[in-house]
Amino acid sequence: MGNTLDHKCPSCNAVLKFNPHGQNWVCEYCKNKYTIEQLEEYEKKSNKVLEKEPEVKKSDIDVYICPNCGAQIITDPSVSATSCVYCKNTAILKDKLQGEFNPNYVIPFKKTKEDAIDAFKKLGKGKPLMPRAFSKKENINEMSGIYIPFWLYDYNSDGVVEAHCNRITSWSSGNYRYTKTDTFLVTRGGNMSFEKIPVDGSKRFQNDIMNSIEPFDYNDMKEFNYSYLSGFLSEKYDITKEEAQEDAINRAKESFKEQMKKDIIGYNSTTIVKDNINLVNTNSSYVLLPVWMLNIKYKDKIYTFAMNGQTGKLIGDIPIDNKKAILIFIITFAICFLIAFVFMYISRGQI
Amino acid sequence: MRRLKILFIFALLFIGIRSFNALDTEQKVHDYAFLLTSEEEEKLNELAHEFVDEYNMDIVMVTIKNRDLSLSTKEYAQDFYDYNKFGIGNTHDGLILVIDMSSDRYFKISTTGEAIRIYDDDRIDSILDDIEDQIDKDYDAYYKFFETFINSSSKYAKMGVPSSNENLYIDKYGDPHYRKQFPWVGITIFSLIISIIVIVVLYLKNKMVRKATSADVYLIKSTINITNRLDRFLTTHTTSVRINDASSSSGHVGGSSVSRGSSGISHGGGGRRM
Repeated sequence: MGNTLDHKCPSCNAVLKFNPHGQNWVCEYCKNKYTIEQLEEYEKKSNKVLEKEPEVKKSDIDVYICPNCGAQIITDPSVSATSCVYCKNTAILKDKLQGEFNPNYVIPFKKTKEDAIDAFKKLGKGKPLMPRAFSKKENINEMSGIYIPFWLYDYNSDGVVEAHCNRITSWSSGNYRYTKTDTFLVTRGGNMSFEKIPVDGSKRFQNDIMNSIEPFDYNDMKEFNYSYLSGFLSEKYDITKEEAQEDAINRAKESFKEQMKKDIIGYNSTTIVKDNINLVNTNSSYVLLPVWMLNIKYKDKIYTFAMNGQTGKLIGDIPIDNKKAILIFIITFAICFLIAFVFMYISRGQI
Repeated sequence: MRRLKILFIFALLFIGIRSFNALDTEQKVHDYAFLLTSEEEEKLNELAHEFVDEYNMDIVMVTIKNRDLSLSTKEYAQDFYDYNKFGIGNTHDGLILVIDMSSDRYFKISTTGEAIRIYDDDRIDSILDDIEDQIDKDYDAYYKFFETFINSSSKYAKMGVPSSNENLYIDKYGDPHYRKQFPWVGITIFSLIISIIVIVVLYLKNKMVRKATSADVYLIKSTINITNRLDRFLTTHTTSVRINDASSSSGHVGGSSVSRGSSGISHGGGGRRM
């Protein structure tokens, strides 16, 4: 059986959870507050599990003992922090975050569960096609704050892009209008660097959803410490650094082409026909990024929403209220028709 | 005496058409080619006045023998009508028939103002047909030509504005304008397009999940370094499209061909060789 870990309050030994708003740890019982430095010091002193390397081999052990109530916790092999179904206590499955699974950095949660609920309730703002009842709090079937494993890649890129560009001139002479199209072969070469392109390292989360909550502000990135995980769930990667890299490479290449295209000026149209871009991976790191996942149940269908736990950006596909869509269509049509009618009527009256 | 008269007309024509203004506009028949007897002239004048009273449009008949060759029969008809200030009302409504007996024999109808609306090209053709039939019947019965002209013109004046010119109207300067059909279809299509755009934009607002394709956010702008720029000419090709000549002073408005005379007034009408 693996080791589980959570944080006890140094004063009263109650469970200590991370507080996203204060970026510190607050004991719910004795109201004492601790910083990361204080906790590290305390843990060193108490010489707890943290210090000794567990002899457990990397395995697919899925059963853990809750350190709080002694119940057995059963989890997926990819889960690295979970909560006990009996006492709701956080259990950080420490051995899952060790060795190659030890994250380099973590961005701590800044948004609380309440922030996520509030954001969900305000979802309908500026989205008139959303069914009114969709963003009700009661529809939140399940929600959890999860540290999702991401790979961050740095690249140096250099390459050449070839494009066919058209320059169009036109003039009239006599009764004819002439249009002349000159085609050029345009080449641009250069280099540029990319820093920390994130790719989701967990198969459980859809890549496009994870793309959509970007970007994270890397300025808040901290050296990894287990303490940040308390109160939240966490996953370990199950897509390796090499496998995940492809997405980052494609994105970097696309941006490289865009930058080159931006440098091609003075033409009416530009089509890239050939490119040869080399990327050198200068650095990559394994980080845990904070995400609130929300499962919304609406009319017997489940909708997945995700909120960037740092910036509060909430995304997900919202269903369309067909009745509202038809109504808005008809109203827009009627207004346009009326305006166009009045405009035409007045302009004809002036002849 | 007769010779003197011819000389006088000759002189008049040579001095310039623009000095017509001494004419009496109550006199609707001007027989400079001496094709009519004075009784016929008087009879036609009476018929003309009846026409004027009935339809509130002027009707003028002119015969000429020698024409200033710098002017066509059509231009002569227009100038004769304009400079002698024929026509009823501000828009000089009315029509004129000129029988030109100079070396090229023509007869020509010119319409002005409201008459442009009433006499569309089809009706002008029909009137010319009627006169031509009369010419075929008896080449020298000039009185009959004019009588046919008045009768035929009356027939159409009684019928009012033809469907081809329903949307034509004459502005205060006597210029015809075509009032286009109210663009119901255009308005509908315009409104449909706008509504579809609005719905699509709103729909996309609800679809927030999108795969990222670029890494612009992670690009360190200061490291962009373009080392190689080359633009090479490959090919060229030129296409040409004919433009419609819109600058001409004659054109087609509604069902009538319209041109502008030297006086600046718009005229419709048509003519044929005799």
